[in-house]
Parts: sequence; C-alpha cells; structure tokens
Amino acid sequence: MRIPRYTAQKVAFGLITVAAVSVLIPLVFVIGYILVQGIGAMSWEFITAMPRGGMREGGIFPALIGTIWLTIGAGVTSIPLGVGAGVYLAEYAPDNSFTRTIRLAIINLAGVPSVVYGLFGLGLFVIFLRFGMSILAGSLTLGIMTLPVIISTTEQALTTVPQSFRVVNASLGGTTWQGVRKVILPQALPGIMTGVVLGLERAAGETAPILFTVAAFFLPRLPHSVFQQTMALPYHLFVISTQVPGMPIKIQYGTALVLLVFVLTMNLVATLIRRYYRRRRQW
Amino acid sequence: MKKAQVMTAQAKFLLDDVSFYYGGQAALQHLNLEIADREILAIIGPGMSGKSTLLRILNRLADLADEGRLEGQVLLDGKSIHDADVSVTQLRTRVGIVFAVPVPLPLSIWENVAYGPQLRRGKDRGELDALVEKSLRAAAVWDEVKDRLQEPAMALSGGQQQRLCLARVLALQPEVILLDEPCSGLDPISTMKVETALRALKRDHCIVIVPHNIQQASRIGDQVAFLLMGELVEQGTAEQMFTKPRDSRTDDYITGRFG
Repeated sequence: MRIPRYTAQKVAFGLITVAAVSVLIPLVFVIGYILVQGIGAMSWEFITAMPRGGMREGGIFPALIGTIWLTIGAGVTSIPLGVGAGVYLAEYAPDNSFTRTIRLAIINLAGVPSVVYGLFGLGLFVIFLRFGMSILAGSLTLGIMTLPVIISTTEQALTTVPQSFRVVNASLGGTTWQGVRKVILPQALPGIMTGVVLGLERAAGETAPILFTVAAFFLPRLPHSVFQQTMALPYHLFVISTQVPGMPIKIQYGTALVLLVFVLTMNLVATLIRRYYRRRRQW
Repeated sequence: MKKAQVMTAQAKFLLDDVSFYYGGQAALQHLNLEIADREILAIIGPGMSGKSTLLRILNRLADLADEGRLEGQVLLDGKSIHDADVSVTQLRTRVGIVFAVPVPLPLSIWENVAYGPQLRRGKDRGELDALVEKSLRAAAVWDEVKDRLQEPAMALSGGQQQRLCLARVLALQPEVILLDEPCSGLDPISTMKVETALRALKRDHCIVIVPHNIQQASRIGDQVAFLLMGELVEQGTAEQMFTKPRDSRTDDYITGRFG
C-alpha cells in the first residue's frame, strides 16, 4: 500500500519538528536544574570570598579568578597561532601533500581526548620544560587543545569572503598579504571570533587538561605570577563533588552555576558582537 | 620577432605569438597584436573568444588562473612583462583594469579610491584627498559622491559603482587602462558618462576596452580588433573595420550574421 504523499509530508514534518524540539529539552533541563539547585548559594560572599572550613563554607573566588586567568592564557597562546595558521591555509597554502598533511593533523588534533592533552602538557610543559604545575603550563595545554577549533573556523570564515575582493586587491597592485590585512581579514572577523569563543569556552570548562598541569586542590589565595598553581572552577567542582565528604549540595550546584554563567556570558558577548558586525556587512 | 623590432617605437603593448591555455584548453592562439598609446583599442568578438583572457594577460591577472599557461611574449614599452626583474604588483599599477561587474571593496567611497595609492607608502592625507577628487572627477562621478565620501561604496547605484571602480583604477595613475565590458550592466546615461570619461582619458592613456556591443566599439574605438575562437581575425582602424573589413568573417560578425 502506498502512503499518500500529503500524509508522508505531514509525518516527516512532524518527526523533524520533534527532533528539533527535543534538542531543547536537555538544555532547558540542565540549566533549569542547576539554577534551581544552585541559586541558593549565590551571594556576594560566594563569588568574592576564599573557601573556608574544608571548602564547605566561604566562596569560590580563587577558582573563578584562576579560570579567568587560564581562559585568557589559553587565548593568548591559541589566538595568534590559530588565526595565523587559518590565514595560511585559506589564503596562501597551495594544494600539495605538505598542506594536506597539515589539514589532516588539524582534524586529528581536534579528535584527541582532552585527558591526553593533559598528559601531553604534563610531559612537555610541566616536566620537560620545567614550568612545573603552573598557570603557564595550564594555559599552554588549554591553548593547544583550542587550536584546531580556531584554525578551522578561521579558515572557513576566510573562505566565505568573496573571491572577487582578492582579485580586486591584486588588480590594484596589492600583495596577498595587503589584501588579507586590509579587506579579507576584517570581513572574516565575526566568523573568526565565533570560533575563538567556542574554543575558549571549551577551554574554560575542561577539567582533564588542567588536572596535571595547573589545578590546585585547595589554594585559598590569588596567584601573582604565571609560574604558580591556581584553583580553577571545573577542577574545583570535581573536587567538591567527589573528594570532600559532607559537602553541602548547594555549594556544588552554586559552583556549577557560576561556571555555566561564565561560559554563557562569553557566548552572549560573542553573539552580540557578531550580530553587530553582520548588520554592518554589505555583501 | 621581426614585427616586434619594427613596431616597438610607437606601440605601447606588443603581443608576439601569444597563446594562452586553461589546462589543455586553448583560450588564445598565436596572437600578434599591437596596441598604440593614446588610443582606444576595442576588442570585439562573440562570447568565449578570449577577449577577457587577453585583457587579463596584459596585467598578469591571468597568472592567478588555476592551471593557466602562457606562451609567446608580451612587451610593454619594449620590455617583456614576464621578465624576472618586473614587479607584478607594480605592473598592475601601470596597467589598471575595470571589470564587467563592479566590485567595490567593503570600505568607504574614499577608501576605495585611495586603496591602490595607499598600498604604496609616502602619500599624506592631503595628497590622497587631492588624488581621490581628481580621479572621481575624471571618472565623471565626483558630483554625485562628493558629499558622501565616507559612506560605504556598496550603497552606490550600479552605474555609480562602475564609475567608482574606474576612479579607483585612475587613482593608480596608470599608463594603460583595461576595461572588460564596463557598461554591460549600465543604463544609457551612465554608459554615456563612462564613454565621455574614456574619450577624455585617451589623451594621456592607452586604453583597451572590450565593449559590450558593436555600437560601442564604433562609438569610441580608434582601433578595433576582432577575435574569434581565440584567434585574431583582423585588426584595423575603426573606420576601416566597419566600412571595408578585409576578412569576410569580420563582415559577417559586424553585420550581425552571427555572434
């Protein structure tokens, strides 16, 4: 028996609508649950005080500051390298075995589990380069983990800029670099920023890469050099959820809420900036 | 080569047995062509005859084509443009090109016109302002944009964009101006303005245009070259080409029997 075309269309439409809506469910549930459980812990003190009483009291200030430092550190390492590599691949790289190898390496890099990055950071930065467990070692590890995302979104953002701009630049006596700097890169900036923020969001929330390279179990003071250890939100969350008996559930979810808000704020800022640039774009 | 030696004295460009291939596909075959200074050469011919390729060879934009390959010699003022000591970026400022579809850069009107000169150092803002105004005037678009130089160039109408692109090329202070169907998308009034501008420009420029129709070739061409399937059928003064062409194919094309 043949299903009538119109019925088939309705069924298909219904199914994909369900699929789309069901994507929302876990998101709403996760955010809602963390919000409900964690909102009670929120206070000025929770954000700005040192942890006390075996971390069962006080605040999460050093972990929050640590995460901010690590995110900035990861950005400082990965943005110049990642954007540079993306520009090379999009604007300069000829299609040969060398650049194909680079592309393959980037794809594979993106698939490496984060705990492997952690071990790599431990081996290279902490031990071999003698940085010790430090913000420097942690930032570099997170930076390398972020690289593939930034490289591929940069390359993609650049390739969406119309080819005709490059031809015009060349026809006016511009070198490839002049065209990239004056026309192509500014046009690709919103797209590049999206990639940067996506990558750094992940870096901010990861536990495994910082586990061996920087994160302190309990360190109730602020770091004052990049060669020191620091607490960090994701690792702190892991610690208070699994390593400390008698931990108030409110503190756990409060910490999760702060981490979530931190990451979502980055997202929001990026979206706003992107929207602003999109509106000004003329092609 | 014999021809080259004879003609170098007055020809701005001299093409000696030039062929161009995209992959294995020949776009131009064994072309011999002289382009005189201070004249307008109109290149006519049906689509896919290699007209655009010819223009792009003259300022080496053809270099950018994937798997493009050139044979033969192209001399500018008697010197091969493919010599190792020729700077391709400098060549492109000497030989400017205006495309069929105007592509303003996503910058302001002023920045578009000043783009080429700004790529080279040593010009202050005052000099650039003067150059921008001079170029826009020469392209017959100054009066329409003078009060909105800081606005995005993409907000201009098609006709204004095309004249802006002409101004952008003029700001390079080129010796040769190439135009690839510069009026194809324009209304008759804009077309007239562009043609008037070109007639004024030929006093101190060598101009090569692929007109968008034969009428335009007869209106502004001093010399006319007829390309067919990558082959130069004949070249002569506009008067000769349109009144007594030597080749019957030229006659057929001009009178509209094909094309």
